[in-house]
Amino acid sequence: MAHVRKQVRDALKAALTGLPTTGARVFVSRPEARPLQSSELPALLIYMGDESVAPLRPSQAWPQLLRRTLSPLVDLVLAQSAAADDTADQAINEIETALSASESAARLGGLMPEGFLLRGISPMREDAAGETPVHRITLVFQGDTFTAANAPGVAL
Amino acid sequence: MAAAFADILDRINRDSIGLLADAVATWQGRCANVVFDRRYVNALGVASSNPVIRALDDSFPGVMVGDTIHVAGEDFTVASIEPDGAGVMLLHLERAA
Repeated sequence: MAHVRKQVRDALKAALTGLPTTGARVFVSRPEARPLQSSELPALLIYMGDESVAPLRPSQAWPQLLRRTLSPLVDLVLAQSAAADDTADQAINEIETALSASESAARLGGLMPEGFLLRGISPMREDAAGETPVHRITLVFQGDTFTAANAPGVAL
Repeated sequence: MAAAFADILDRINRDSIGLLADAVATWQGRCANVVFDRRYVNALGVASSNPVIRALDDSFPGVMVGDTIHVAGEDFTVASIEPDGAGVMLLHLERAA
């Protein structure tokens, strides 16, 4: 069984693939050695941010039950245009809607029983070094999964 | 003395651009030999290139940011103009919309 971290990334990809603005251009853990091509914009990049792990009850006997607070990150990358802000906001609208479309979606298919929430959106960063300037925005999500210490691949 | 050095500088600029020019750029019907560079850049995780023209100041007098320049078979928009203060300028280009 894959670690819940991978399960969360895969669930995010499934939920965000096929949205009107970004379509099938959703990439998980895309390495820096394989940068996006301009033909792949606008795109979503999914990767894992910080994770904190704590026992539910510190004095519990083995195996301890753990609360894992995960912060998946979704980067929206798009080419610069006069309507870049509007395009970005439309894509963000689609992302938030998709992840709240149902109770199951809001709990990331059950991986995060207490809910999976958008916690913040970064300012739009721009890099004009290329022949087509590029914008990038980071959406920070957060949610808790629960696993036993000896079974990090089984979400409780 | 200063005028003589200015002449030398001008001659050096024209000779070097003349020797190193690898493209012809066209701006508002005016053609000039230029050095066209298009190195790879990674812009926020997107593979791209950084097209730049090196030309004599008087090749495109009055060129402005936002103007269209045709070089290497493509139209570009002038994104920035960087004169070196000694007779040569760099034009940073963007792909024309």
